[in-house]
Amino acid sequence: MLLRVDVMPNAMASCLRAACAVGACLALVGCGGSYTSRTFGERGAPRAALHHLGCLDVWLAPGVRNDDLIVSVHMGNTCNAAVPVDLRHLDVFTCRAGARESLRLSDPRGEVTELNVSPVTEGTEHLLYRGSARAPSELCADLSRVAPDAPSKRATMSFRRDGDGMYAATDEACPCG
Amino acid sequence: MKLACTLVVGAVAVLLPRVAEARSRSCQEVSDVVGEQKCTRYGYAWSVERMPGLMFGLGAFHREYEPAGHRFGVARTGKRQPTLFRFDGDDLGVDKLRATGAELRVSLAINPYFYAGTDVGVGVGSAPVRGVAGAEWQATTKGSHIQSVWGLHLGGRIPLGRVAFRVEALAGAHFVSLPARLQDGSSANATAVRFLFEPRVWADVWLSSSWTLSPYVGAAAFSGSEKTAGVMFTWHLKAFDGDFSL
Repeated sequence: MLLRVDVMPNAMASCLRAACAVGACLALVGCGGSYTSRTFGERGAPRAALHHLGCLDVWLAPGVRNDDLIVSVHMGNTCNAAVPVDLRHLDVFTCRAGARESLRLSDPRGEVTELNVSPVTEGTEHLLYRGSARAPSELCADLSRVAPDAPSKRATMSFRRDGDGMYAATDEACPCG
Repeated sequence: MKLACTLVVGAVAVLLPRVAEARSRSCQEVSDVVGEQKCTRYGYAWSVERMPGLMFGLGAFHREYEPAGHRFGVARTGKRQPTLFRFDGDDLGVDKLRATGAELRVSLAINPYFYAGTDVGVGVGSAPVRGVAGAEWQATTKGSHIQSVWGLHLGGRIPLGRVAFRVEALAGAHFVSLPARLQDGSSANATAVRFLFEPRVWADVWLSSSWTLSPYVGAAAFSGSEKTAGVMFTWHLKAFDGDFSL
């Protein structure tokens, strides 16, 4: 009885509330899932815009905002180990008068460095690229050096801007790639 | 499982607006484009380096306390009551007080191999019926006693696939409180506080990329043969704490 009167209202009750809060957080996460090799496909990623670099899946989705070219890079790690990724080596380019013109990544704070994608985790970054034409009609991306641990000889994607101004992935090879 | 998810979704529906409100007060994001973001950094949500390695644990423990050598202060129940008298833990006439209870912990991984955080635990156990006396006052302890621990921990982790081993040290305060009745019939508490330094050994079993089930054992340093053991469910914000194996 003494316990109930003297202690329960203070320490025990606080602990009980805290335990409930933590338990709710734990249960919430238990309802979620980890990244798998099927995740991006189930979200509608076009096959031509998805590339596998060892453990790393990369799905590119270029778009135009305020006349700027924004490339949304979705990354997913299918392995239980961390995977290094360096988006400074994502070469986004276009063809101009038959010549390859690489677009420049806008990174004013120098944030984009080599980082490790956590195991079975996904993430998205929206990168701004600039070139002589702000949003070219044809766009290519070379991912071969994006994953330092899984260099790929051929990892190029091709996109074409449609009548609505949206970029769509194509199976055609890059004309300058 | 479905019921748990439903309950949690309901709880989140209540809690999330508060979290979002608190976040919006602290920083207003203006863009999701790298270089234009004000509140977040590149890689904060997915990289081992920039994603916070938060861990939340909830578990049960059983611990021992040797009252001998510790001074207990007796005060009437209620806030800010003066200590009426003190007695030595030997007077309780028991080698150990044993309590079982619940423990919460929050940890932050410094890197995949080291972590630090805080623990709080409260347990209840039986108390001996024993008369204790000071110069003017007498009391009789009885009923259940409470042991609570608050501390900071620092540890190292060896990831070996689905199992990881950890060694850590917990430093903090150990509170013991026994209910008592004074000679005039009023209620009192006999309370002792001491510094606790407790090395612990853990084994983590990964149930999924975010959940571990971890039994542990520990022993209080510098104070005889007090032991503790427990088991904890832990949720890890960073999958496999950033690294599954060495």
